[in-house]
Parts: sequence; structure tokens; C-alpha cells
Amino acid sequence: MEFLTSTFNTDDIWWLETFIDDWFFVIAIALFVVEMMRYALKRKFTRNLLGDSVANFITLGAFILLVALVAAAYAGVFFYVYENFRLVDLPLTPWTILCCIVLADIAYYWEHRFLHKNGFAWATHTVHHSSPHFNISVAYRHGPLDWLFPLFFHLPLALLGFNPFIIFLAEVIVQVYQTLLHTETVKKLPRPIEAIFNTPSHHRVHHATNKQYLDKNYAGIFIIWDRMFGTFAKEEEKVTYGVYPAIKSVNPLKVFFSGYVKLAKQLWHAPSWSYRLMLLVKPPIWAWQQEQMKK
Amino acid sequence: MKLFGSLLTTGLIIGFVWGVALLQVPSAQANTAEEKASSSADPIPSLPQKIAKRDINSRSKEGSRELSAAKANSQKTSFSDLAITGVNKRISLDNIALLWQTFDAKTLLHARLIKQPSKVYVYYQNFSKDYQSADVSIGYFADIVKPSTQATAQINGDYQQLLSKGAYTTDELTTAWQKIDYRKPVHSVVEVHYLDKNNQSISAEVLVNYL
Repeated sequence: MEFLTSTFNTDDIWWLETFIDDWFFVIAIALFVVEMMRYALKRKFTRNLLGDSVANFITLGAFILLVALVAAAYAGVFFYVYENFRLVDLPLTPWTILCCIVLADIAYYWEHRFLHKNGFAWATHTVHHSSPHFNISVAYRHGPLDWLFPLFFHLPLALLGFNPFIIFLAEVIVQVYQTLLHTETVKKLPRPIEAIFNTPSHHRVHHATNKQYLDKNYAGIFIIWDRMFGTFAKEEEKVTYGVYPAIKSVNPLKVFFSGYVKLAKQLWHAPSWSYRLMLLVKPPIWAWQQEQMKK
Repeated sequence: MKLFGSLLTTGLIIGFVWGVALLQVPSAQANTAEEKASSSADPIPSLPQKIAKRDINSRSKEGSRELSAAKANSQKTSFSDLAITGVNKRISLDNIALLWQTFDAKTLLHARLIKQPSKVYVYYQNFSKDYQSADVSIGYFADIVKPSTQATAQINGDYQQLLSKGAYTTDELTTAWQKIDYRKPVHSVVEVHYLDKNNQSISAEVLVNYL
């Protein structure tokens, strides 16, 4: 208990964040290799799987380059809000970090739900969903604006008095937790774990194109948010992965920009300005429904 | 649950978790007040107190220590870019115990030690005119803290020994400060606390650098 209220400094928190980020990537790569060997043993390792995985890591590289360009501005917004508008001063303790992780996780739930329900946001998030495979490398399949949306959903934490270093640490923990969920190797975990935490089974459902699984299981760490807010679905029917229509490409450039290229085409061919606004604001299924009605 | 209900529930959850985070604020403030009260009653740093406890068992050595301290007055020690990593604060010299507590509580710093530390350095610089406050750094030799981060302080220059390496009572450590020649401008003072394998301070050394 004493440990929970012992004080860290920002240097410690930054070190911890970097440590988790770097070493978790190493662990994830090792697990990815194990997964690929498993596919090879089951004679399911294909050229498309290899190409898709390589494309995933290249999108990660492109994403890191973009993040490097905007990182200072992104962090600056958090520090500006924290320095000028925070309501209270929360100490830099493990207790605060735990609370921040819970709040960052619920913020992530809403951010994720928004990414699926807004046309402009979906254009970046669709990249992550567009793989027809499901393995650790898919966790690293990023879209060009994946760095933007967390800002709006996590910024209120700075207002509540959480030091930005703690917020960034919590964001990293929520992200790295989910990395391990991208696997077919783990079937189901013990029931209490499946009841509380997001698991590979729950996340497979989230990546599915099966009708009954659409827009379900947005959770980061805790699946309880989905259970509470009515967006939970249990994995029963076999999952088919990807998006509809499929992008059918392992070209990293095509994959990375697929969402915004498609959105740009839709905007270009839109019949009116109100239609264009709807394309940006409404869920992606709205555009699909409009196209079906035309046919 | 409908969207509005979900958002309302989210608001309640955020309020609850934030409240849980806020619970520690009054207790942290109470701890700080308690620390301030205890430090004003006893201005001697915590680590020398540990030395003092050990010293009760070794009073027979007191005479020889005085002799070595007297001999030490003429000795010089040089530091060249000795980087230390730990904590740093501008603080009243009466409140050094608070900085020691902060240093002791830095669990992650201690976890980053790549080998058993043999010393802890306390570096006093930028003294106020009345010598009541200074910029004080407490830390380990930076090379044994990995991954490396920016050093808390760097110690440079030729130092005269005020107290040679030995086990001292808190009074003796205080007396060492009285040996400083305050007619000369003081650049900095370094206390070196030597640790045993359980990280307990077993001896100390006090050094001064005049401008």
C-alpha cells in the first residue's frame, strides 16, 4: 500500500513509458515469429499472409514518421492544458497511474467507438481493419491519422489534473495491452478473465465482417465497458476478418492511404455539399446504404 | 444501453475514479505537513541519523575518528565531471530530511541501479547569503543508473575535507559544517555517504569547495 502512494518524478515515468514501449515491441515480434511458425506447421502460411504482414510493419514505419513530425505539438497541447487549466494537482504516484489507466481505457472505448461511427475518422481506422488476416502484425497496421483522435478523448484527463507524462504512459499501456489480443493462437481464456478483460476472442469479434459482430467490442483493456454500454458480442460463429469491400492488396502505400483515397473519391463524386458533410460526419455504413439505394 | 445513458454512466465512472485518485491528495498533504513538523523539530538529515544509531555501538572509536578528522583537514579531493542521478531541489537547509524522504521514495530510480551502490552523494551549491538555503542534489553515481537520463548534478573542482570517511553522530556531522571558513565564499559542499550491502549508510565524508 505504501508503494501505491510513493512519489515518482516525470523522469521515472518517461523512463517507464519508454521501457514498456520498446521491450513490448521486442516481445511482440517474438510472439509474431511463433505465430508464423504455427501457421507454417498448420500449412496455413501463404505468400499473401507474408506480404500482408510486411505491409503492416511498413504502415507502422510510416505512422512513426508522422508521429515524429507531430509529437511535440501533440505533447504541447497536453502540457498547455495541464499547466493552465487543470482543476487539481494529482501527485505522481502508482495510485494516480492506476486511476489514469482506468480513465484512459474508458476514453479509449469512446474514441474507438467514434472511429467506427464517423466517416472521417473511419478513413484512418479502416486501415487497421482492412487486413484479411489476424495476427500480432495487424496490431501495428496503422492509418495516417491514427495519432490525431486520441488527443480529443484523452485531453480531458489533463484537465482533471493528471500529469501529461502519466497520461502518455496510460495511453501506451492501453495500446500495448491490445497488441497481444491480435492472435488466433489463443482461443478462450478462463471465464472470469473473459468477463472482465478484453481477450483475443473478444477482439477477433471486433475485427469481424460477420453481420452479427459488426461494431462490437470496442474495449481496450476492460470488456466491461462494452458489456455495460450494449456493444458486446460473444465469439460464437467463426470469424471472417477484414472490411467490406475488401481492399485486396498488400501494397503498403495502397493499404496506408486506402481509407482517405476512398473518402476523397466519395467526396469528389458526391451529388451535393450536404452529402459531402454527411460523408464526413455519418458512420461509414451510411455511404454504403446511399450507394445501395441508388442501385 | 442507449447512447445518452452510456455517456451519463461514463460521466459517473469518471467522477468515481477521479474521486479515488483524489483520495490520496489529502493524505499526501497530511504526510507533507507531518514531515515538515518532524523536520523542523529535528533538522538533521535521515541518513546521518542512521549513522548516529550505528555510532552508539562504536563509541570507543570516537577518539581515533577525531584524529583522522583532524588529519583530514589538510587533505584534498578532486572531482572531475562526477555526474549524479537522483533528486534536486532548492531547499532550506533545515528541511534536508524532506529531500532524503523524496529520494528514498524514488522506487523506480532504485530499481534502475545496475549494481549495488556504494555511495550516495549530497551536493549543496548556490547557497543563499545567510547560508540557510541552497540547491541540494541527492543521488547515485550516474553511471550505475540505467537507462541513463539527464544527470541531476555534476560535481567538479578541488575539495578540502572537513570530515574524513568514518562513522559519525549527527552532532559530529553538524560540527563539520561549523568547520567551514565562512569568511571565504563557499562554492559547494559535498557529503559522501558510504553504504553497506543493504543500502544502509555506514560512514560519511564531508568536503568543501571554496570559490
